[in-house]
Amino acid sequence: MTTRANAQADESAWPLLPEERRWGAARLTLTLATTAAATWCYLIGESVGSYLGFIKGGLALGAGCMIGMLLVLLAAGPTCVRFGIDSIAATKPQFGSRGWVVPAALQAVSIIGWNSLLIIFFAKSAVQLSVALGILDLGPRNAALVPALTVLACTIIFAVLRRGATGVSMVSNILVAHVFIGLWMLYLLVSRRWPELIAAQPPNASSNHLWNYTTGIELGIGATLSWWPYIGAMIRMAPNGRTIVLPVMLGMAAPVPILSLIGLAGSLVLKSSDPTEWLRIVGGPAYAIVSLTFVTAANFGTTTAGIYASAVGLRNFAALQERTWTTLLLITIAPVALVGIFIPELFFAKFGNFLALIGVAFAPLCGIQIVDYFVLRRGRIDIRAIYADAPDQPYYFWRGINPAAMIALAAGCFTYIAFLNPLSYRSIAPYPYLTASLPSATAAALTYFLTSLLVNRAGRGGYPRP
Amino acid sequence: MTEPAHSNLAPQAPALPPPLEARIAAIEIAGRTPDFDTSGWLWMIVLGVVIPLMMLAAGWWA
Repeated sequence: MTTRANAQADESAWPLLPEERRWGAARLTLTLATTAAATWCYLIGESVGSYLGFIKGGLALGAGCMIGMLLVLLAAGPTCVRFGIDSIAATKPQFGSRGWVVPAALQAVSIIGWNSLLIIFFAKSAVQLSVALGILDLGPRNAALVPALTVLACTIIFAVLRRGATGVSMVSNILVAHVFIGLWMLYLLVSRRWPELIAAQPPNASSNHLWNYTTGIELGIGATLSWWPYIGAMIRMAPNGRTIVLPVMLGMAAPVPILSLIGLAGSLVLKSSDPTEWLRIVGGPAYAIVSLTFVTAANFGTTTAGIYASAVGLRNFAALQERTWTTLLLITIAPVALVGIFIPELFFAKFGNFLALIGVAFAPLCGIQIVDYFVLRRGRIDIRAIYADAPDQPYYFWRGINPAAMIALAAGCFTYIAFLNPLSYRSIAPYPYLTASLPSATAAALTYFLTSLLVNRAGRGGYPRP
Repeated sequence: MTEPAHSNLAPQAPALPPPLEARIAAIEIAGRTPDFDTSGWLWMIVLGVVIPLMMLAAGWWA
């Protein structure tokens, strides 16, 4: 293997060699923490604050995040870390040598959608920061700066990611400081407004206390399940499973509920989850500047990691395997930049609902991967078959598609929406006892297991014989 | 005119690109990288099951 090939390995979807996987636990933790901490933490906290008070909400959200992270780790973790491959390549044993385009589409839409939102947040925060620092005057023409700043951010991200995973790690090393700024903001609010915080009543709480509590848990599970598209590209840089468990469970799962407490506390006490608004009330303009710096840094770090994961995922398409890394980055960044330039406000207003619907697919996806790896294949994955698309290969199934995975994914999504409509929050009677993500993952896992018995009987899928 | 003889060999998969082939061969030679060891499973149970259950119990009675 040449040095040039090694240097480009983290820019491909091919498996990484042991000597190329040099991220230790500390480096992985920093990268995952920087990736996880972003503006969405406030939104998650605000959502929980609609139904639960500070302590109940914080504990329900924290528990939900840890449970969701465990599901993601069990689903994508084993295959990604054993062979040094990304989340999308790890779906080929389940979805087939062509059917993987379904999870790839979910990943692309989810990451590009979220990154577009975050980069618009970034641009807006940067404008607000410039006003607060006196660089810009307050005025309507500042809105025109959002597209320009979006382009600037995309250009910087592009330049950083020319270095592949090293660029992600480099950004994380610098921006991880924002996590501590977030903790300081939380301390500030909690220490100064504790009596009000404890007494605050959630505005949209249902009369069913169990429903409120379960919704707090569900929001936590859902938030961390949406890390599935990101996680493979990061953990494949670590040498083995031993290295990834604590960084994923603590570095990625813990910052989300902790920083979400900022949004939760702000929405309960000051009726605003956005710390750039309430820090000005609590501590004056200087605190607002610190907060805006936090928001700007947080979203930049997450977007960098997201663009990287998405670009690696696209490498799985045969047509893009031979393209240069620069081309791939441009393909990934272009939609984000175009959204930020042409339709930032429209996207802000409408795309959240679409992302909520896309999010329901990650619980069943995890259920399918877990049962496939641990039950049906008992850990036996054919790395060569992951990259071979031919009728005699085990992951070819029928025309490259495994119908069992498609049926199971549909069954899981249907179960989720039946238990809890992610847009209207209408639910059915068992929801308060079971959540929606866990039955969805279970339904998909059971469906996949049963239909895979038929697939196995037909001699497809390369499942090990008992 | 006779029918062409069918090969008894199984159809071969198209060859992988040589750099990928070399990469997979190197991974196969290096042997199986373990997924999770005992301590990994223990941490997953503690952080993904035990602590969340304790948090849920504490939150419910808070």
